[in-house]
Amino acid sequence: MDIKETSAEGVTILEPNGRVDINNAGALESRLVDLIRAGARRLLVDFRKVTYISSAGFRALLIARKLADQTGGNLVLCGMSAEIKRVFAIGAFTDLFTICATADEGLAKAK
Amino acid sequence: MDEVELRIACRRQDVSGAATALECFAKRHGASAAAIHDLQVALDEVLGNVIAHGYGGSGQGEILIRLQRRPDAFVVVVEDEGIAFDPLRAPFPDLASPLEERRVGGLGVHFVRSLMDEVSYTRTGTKNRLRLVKRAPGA
Repeated sequence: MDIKETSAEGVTILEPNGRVDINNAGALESRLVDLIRAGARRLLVDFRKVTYISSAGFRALLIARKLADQTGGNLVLCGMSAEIKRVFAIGAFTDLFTICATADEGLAKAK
Repeated sequence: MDEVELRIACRRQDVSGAATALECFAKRHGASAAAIHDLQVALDEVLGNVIAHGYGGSGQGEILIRLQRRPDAFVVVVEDEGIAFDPLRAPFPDLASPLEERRVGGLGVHFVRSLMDEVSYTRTGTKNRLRLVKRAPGA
């Protein structure tokens, strides 16, 4: 899984490509944590190219979200497929994250 | 019934091969996008548990994965010869705590139970066997 990284309007945007699973969730976590520790306060993770995310990925997101919270940062998610949204609901993660339908909405929320 | 069997090493980096094999098998047999998604998440969770617990996290050992297309369902069987471990006995996950206290323990098994139609564990001799069933009408 590669993670495309761009920025727009002061927001760092990560776009993982493929599966966020037991093998590569760590890479997403590391990147988010490194960014936050380096001072990034506005982050958007775009799921449009993510085929699925398993509990390892949820763990990564939770760690990043907690760190962002502690540092006064904003971590927003967007672009999820219906299947991924369903898993977020099953794990009761929908209330823990700001989740937007599109990247434009995500950008607006993250700013 | 069509069946495919594969063996992977008990290591995280070997999970991708199993995920791809499952995706190809399910697609070939007419699974919907939602069913493929659910099967892949469930398999990832199950393999993750075996890798973490089955062989003491040593990376030694093998995992056998059997994929079956039955007339009305996909069946995934995961077998290992690690220590006796029933992942279905994991505690129910924390789904209510606020952010600061939220943990992910038990979440994987919760996903497996929620996304699959049947899940069962058996210990036979030296083998752990986990069987997942996802109902899917035949093509």
